[in-house]
Amino acid sequence: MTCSDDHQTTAGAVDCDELFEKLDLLIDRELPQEELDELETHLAACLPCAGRRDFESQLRAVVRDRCADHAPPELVAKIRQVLELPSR
Amino acid sequence: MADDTQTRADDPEQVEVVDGVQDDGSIVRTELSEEDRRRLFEAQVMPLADRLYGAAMRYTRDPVDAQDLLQEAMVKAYRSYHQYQQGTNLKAWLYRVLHTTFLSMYRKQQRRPQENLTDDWGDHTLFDAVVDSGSVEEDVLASFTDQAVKDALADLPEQFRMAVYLADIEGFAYKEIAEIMDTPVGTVMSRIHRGRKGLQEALTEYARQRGILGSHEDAR
Repeated sequence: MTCSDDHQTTAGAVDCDELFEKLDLLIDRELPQEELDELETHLAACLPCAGRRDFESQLRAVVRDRCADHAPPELVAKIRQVLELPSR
Repeated sequence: MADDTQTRADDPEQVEVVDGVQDDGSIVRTELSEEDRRRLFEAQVMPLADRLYGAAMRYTRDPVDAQDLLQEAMVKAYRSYHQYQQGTNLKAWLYRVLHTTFLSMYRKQQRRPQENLTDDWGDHTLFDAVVDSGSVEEDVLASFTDQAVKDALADLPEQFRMAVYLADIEGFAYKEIAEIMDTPVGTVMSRIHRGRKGLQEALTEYARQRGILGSHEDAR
């Protein structure tokens, strides 16, 4: 479902369908600044799309936080030994 | 007073590595002395061991394999450290080493055909499921445990898992991921996009099974 099924906001040059399509690229900041600005203009005027963007951003942050791992100290010590780095 | 040797001893990151440009324009890297190599590696690479271990875990999905992979990748990185050009993107360089090490260590085991992701989920997203069910966004996000997220990632086919990991957990740009995975940027974008969808599908299912995400009917 695209958000346009629920609402349709045309703010500036971008509509909700286009925002949905480019949401990944927007959050990843993988678009030219001009296009990012256009999408931001739409978001400033469109609450449902802004809600979607915020949720997607939060989800990314949650996924990142939940995936933190620490190398076992024995492993790091072993690598140091193999590479003949001074032990700590 | 403070000559070169002194500076080096005080601050390992100050070691200057000079490229020699030859008459024909080719560049010959000055070999690192063993001492400089050790110092630079210690200062620049060892602090990233935890992050690289996380990557190794997501790549292999197994603690024993992850330890083998990290150790092997660190040995390779150390041996080829003179090829890393100081001042360029070290993290991307290291992940490229880790990635190629993973392929060389585990490719032989992967005899099954390249898995793919089904696209039967359409354009549906976790956000839509949350809105449809009338659940509270924060409650749904908070319900995802470390294990839930790691399992959801682990269930993605390898190429998608790596692309999503490098983008969402490590924050690499598409172009960097393309270099790490040695794949065209367009392919990277497609893998990230579809991998994220697969991840959301798994997390949606997780939340549903635990009753955090009510069905559409429940919300009425």
